[in-house]
Amino acid sequence: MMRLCSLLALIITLAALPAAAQVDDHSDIEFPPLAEFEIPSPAVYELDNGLKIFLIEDHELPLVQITARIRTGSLYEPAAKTGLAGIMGEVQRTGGTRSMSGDELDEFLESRAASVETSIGNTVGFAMMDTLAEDVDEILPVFVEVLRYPEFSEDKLELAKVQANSAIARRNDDVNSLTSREFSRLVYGEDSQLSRMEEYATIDAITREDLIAWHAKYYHPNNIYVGVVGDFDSAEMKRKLAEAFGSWPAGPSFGGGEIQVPSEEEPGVYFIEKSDVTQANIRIGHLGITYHNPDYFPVVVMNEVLGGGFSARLFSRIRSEKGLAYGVRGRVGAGFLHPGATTFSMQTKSESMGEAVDALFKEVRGMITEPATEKELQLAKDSILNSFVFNYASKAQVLGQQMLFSYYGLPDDFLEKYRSNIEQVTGADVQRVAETYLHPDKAKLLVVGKAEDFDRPLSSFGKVTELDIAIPPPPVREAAIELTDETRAAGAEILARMTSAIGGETPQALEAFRTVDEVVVSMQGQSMAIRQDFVLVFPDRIRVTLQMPMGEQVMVVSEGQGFQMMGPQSREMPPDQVQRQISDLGRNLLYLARYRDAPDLEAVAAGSGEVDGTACGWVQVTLGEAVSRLCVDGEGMVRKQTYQSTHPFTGAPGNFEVVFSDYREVDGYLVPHRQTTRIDGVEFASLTRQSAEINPEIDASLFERPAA
Amino acid sequence: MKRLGRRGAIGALLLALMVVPVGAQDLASVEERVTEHRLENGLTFLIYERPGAPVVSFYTHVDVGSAQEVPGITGLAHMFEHMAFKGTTKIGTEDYEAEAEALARVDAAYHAYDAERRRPTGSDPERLAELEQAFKETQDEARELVKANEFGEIIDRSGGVGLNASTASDRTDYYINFPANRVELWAYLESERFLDPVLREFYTERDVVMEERRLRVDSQPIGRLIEQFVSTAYIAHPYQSIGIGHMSDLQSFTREDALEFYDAYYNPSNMIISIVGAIDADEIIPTIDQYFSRLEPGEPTPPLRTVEPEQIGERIVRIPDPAQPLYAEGYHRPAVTHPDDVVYDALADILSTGRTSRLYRSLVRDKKIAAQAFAFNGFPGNKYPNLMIFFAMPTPGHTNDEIQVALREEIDKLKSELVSEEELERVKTRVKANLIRGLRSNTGIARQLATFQALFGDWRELFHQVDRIEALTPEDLQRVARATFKETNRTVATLYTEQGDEG
Repeated sequence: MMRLCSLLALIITLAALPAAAQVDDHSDIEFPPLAEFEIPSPAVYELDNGLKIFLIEDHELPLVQITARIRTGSLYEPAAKTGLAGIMGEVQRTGGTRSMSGDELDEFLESRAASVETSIGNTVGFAMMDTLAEDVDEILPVFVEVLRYPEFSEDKLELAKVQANSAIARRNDDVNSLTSREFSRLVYGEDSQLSRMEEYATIDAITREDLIAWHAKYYHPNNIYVGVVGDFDSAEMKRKLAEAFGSWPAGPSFGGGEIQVPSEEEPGVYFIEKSDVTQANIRIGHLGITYHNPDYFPVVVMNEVLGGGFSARLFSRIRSEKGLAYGVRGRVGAGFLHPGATTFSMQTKSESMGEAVDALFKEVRGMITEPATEKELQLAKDSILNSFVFNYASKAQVLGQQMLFSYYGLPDDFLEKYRSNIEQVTGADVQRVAETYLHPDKAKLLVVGKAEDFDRPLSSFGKVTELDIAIPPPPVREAAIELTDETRAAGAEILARMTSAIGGETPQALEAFRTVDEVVVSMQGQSMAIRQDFVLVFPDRIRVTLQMPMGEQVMVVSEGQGFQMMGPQSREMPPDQVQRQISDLGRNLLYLARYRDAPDLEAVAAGSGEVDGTACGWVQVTLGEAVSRLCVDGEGMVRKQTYQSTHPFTGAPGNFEVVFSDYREVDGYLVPHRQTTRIDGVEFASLTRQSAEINPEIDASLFERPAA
Repeated sequence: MKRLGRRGAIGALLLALMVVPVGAQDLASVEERVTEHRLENGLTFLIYERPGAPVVSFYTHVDVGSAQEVPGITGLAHMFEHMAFKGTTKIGTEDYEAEAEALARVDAAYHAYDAERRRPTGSDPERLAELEQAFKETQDEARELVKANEFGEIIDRSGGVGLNASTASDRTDYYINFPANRVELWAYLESERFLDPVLREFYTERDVVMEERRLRVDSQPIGRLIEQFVSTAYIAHPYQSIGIGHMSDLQSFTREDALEFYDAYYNPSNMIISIVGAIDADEIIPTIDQYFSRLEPGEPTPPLRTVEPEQIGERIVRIPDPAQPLYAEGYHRPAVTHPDDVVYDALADILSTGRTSRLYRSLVRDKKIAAQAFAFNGFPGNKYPNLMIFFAMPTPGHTNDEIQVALREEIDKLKSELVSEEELERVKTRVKANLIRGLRSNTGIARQLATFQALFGDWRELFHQVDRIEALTPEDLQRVARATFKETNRTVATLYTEQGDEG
């Protein structure tokens, strides 16, 4: 019955349209010529002050959009303030204008369902406006104010910095973006602006004055391109734009700065360990070309053969045939103002890392040794040419492209000639550019993943350099220290006040001490109670016993060696860790008191402070490799100590802040009985001292490693 | 071949002249451009004529998703979506008869291997290796008969762009754009792929899908969080499983499973196809009729039997992870077809759209404890009762606990105080403007039309929804907030930082 119905339907169809016959094979389908279509062409003109305007009407929907390109870019910022341009681009909008605060702007725009946004990329600044056509007279002046008179309010700068710091803290969480970032840095080399990264310190260094200076340097009408598309009358819009921008005087033009790229490339194998992934993230590549390269079009065709669509070599051979990856891509990269990065990338399960790297290298080499077949070449060109009309899919797109080409100095007819340039590419051209622009023997290989699961060691591809991606800790917000005779003298005085209070009359009589503490450690809202037994025999024998919910852990350092025990298992401590345990003693208050006369002890006053309402004087104390700052009150008691160290659980570097209280006298020495520790401002541990003994009996066997 | 809809221009004019809500005004002008066309076999076409560049978006919505999976075949809806690019008996093969035999040998070899691999008493390693080798050999033989990626190649060659597909809980969508003179080619390929698919290279593609799971879920902090979150929030409904599927199911389901799934759900009653661009409906309808009438009619996807029972206690999952902390909190809410759906949209909008939103102002701007904080609906699907969820990323030095406190303050405020008229007005203005902005791209229009047609049986709901939002009052929002934001209706999932090797 069902069949009958559809058969009937078919008959009706055939009867109605005898001309159109259903084909059995796709190659029998004939295409009518593509309908004649007038390619939209924006009006382009310049105001007297040099502002370039691109204008095109589009009356389909009652909307108006403006995009401005500003000649600037984060690549031109000073290295010590990396992140300045990005933050300026953010605060330009959020920080308000001379007539509206940022919050007022938010309300004004959002109550009209309009938006004005700004940003700065590597080599361009943007400002955009999007509004209902009926509101254009209200929104356009706001857009101009944001461009011309941003206020850069301090509170929004602060907010932008918090956001930037958050991005820094999270930058190693997403393995794919981490891999792309580090690979790009390898390709461009450490001297290139393209390799710079925002750090807590570079964000910290940015001031409101920097934003104002940046704006003053680049934001002049003669450095700006404005594109307008939407539901308006051109003559009227031209009048409005002249009114809005005409009074803005021209300023110095910016032609762009030099961008460093390596002149020589060396191959190399690089690795980053990431324990929380099940895939190896792989990149292979080197420097690419610019859009201005005369070989650009043959390169486009070669890229299509290699990494274009579903039928390209990489997809077909590595994904469809071998099932090695979900995403595999690669191309000779092109840039506008500097060479792009030629990058081949994929992710594969850790257990097929080696197989995948082989497969990827094989395709890069194969592009040279196995020339594109006539069929591949034709497919690539057909694919590019037949989809070319999508470059004109909307008026906004046409406008955007024309502005882009103009901004980066490509010929006005770049797009018009694109088709014939592609048509002319021959197999010999593709072969030539493959040989010229693919350098598998100079390529760098980067793998990010879990080495222990790899099918074979990465070193089978060459000598491996492991990259350190640890995020440098934020700079400590402390008064700068001036090294003068006065600060040294004042420092010595503060230290003496402290050591005589804590170390009593005869610090040299200190031979050993032992404390037992209850420590509550908190991590992400969960807490864990630890009982800590600490024994120190001067000068350098240490035993720490931790009783934790998961069992007892012991750490011993004695006579320059150390071991750790967890239950009956003991293992030797690596020498660098032993050394660190010993040098960290230089931050221990009693230890400092004991060795107050040590020749390498240095104390420098570092301003005055206050802890919980008690005034104290800061002193920076250096003993051996240990550096810390102490805030010492009038009675010689240390109220707070700050130093940089690594997180005991995560191993991440951080700023430590310890607050001491509840000092009690023990055999003539002053010992704090409460301590709270914060790391990078987050509460980490709270300690309550159960007992403290000076010069107790210490059994020497405590420092001996039990026989296995 | 019934022609439905396509209201005359006069009707539209009349509508516009009457005092009607904004949604209806926009609807009137859009309705003029839309042709609704249903085939005898049940397939619905929505054709939107849009003058301009000679390009067209094609969008096929299939009423099947991961919610149609049961234990053992999780991930299969998505797996079939991958297979729908592998060709047909005519496309992608050197010799289909020989290939069909080769595929049967692959299936047999796989079953032998799989039976040994999963033998309850343990597998014999030597035997397993032999069977795996045999399985690989049959695959290599079958591959000899494949024209690799011919389906995609035809599309590439003809200037098709944006070929892709996606699978969600309630839907599987296939999309592509072509120059306007390729309508017949598209009609041929799209009807052919669902009329006569050949699931070739199935087991290799299954490896690709496993890589996709590793990429999106196993190796991503957010992926890990979301998987735990939904599986905690649901105890019965299939929304508990994220669409990618469990690894053990991916390692076990078969080509026959995928064919069975296709037979059950891929029929014209379950398909809505929208076509948007520089085309004339009258001109292309005969062509699409010709090709798509070939599809055999079938049964619509039956409504799911399992209803998620009312939650009786808060559910919490905490994940130690080397990444920075993440916070997610969700509340059960009704399906998209419920009259209160727009109230949830308004709540989410007031909470997290734009810089005037409450979560942005409190958590991001003022307290600076979150880098991002937002609320959204329809998670993980929306055809069935789903979740309204809140998601936040703490800034350095701040914790999930602080996020929770600040978030709950804002949620409680929605229950204790009426939202201001000004805030509600902003929502209404924004929704109207977004409707217009949504008409800017062919693909966007195509997706919207198909989505509303599928969920409500009428694409016009897209416009009616704006009118329903227009009618909302602050009391509506308070009523729904009070009914929804309860401890016993809540699931919290957090990812907290814990790194390094153990001692």
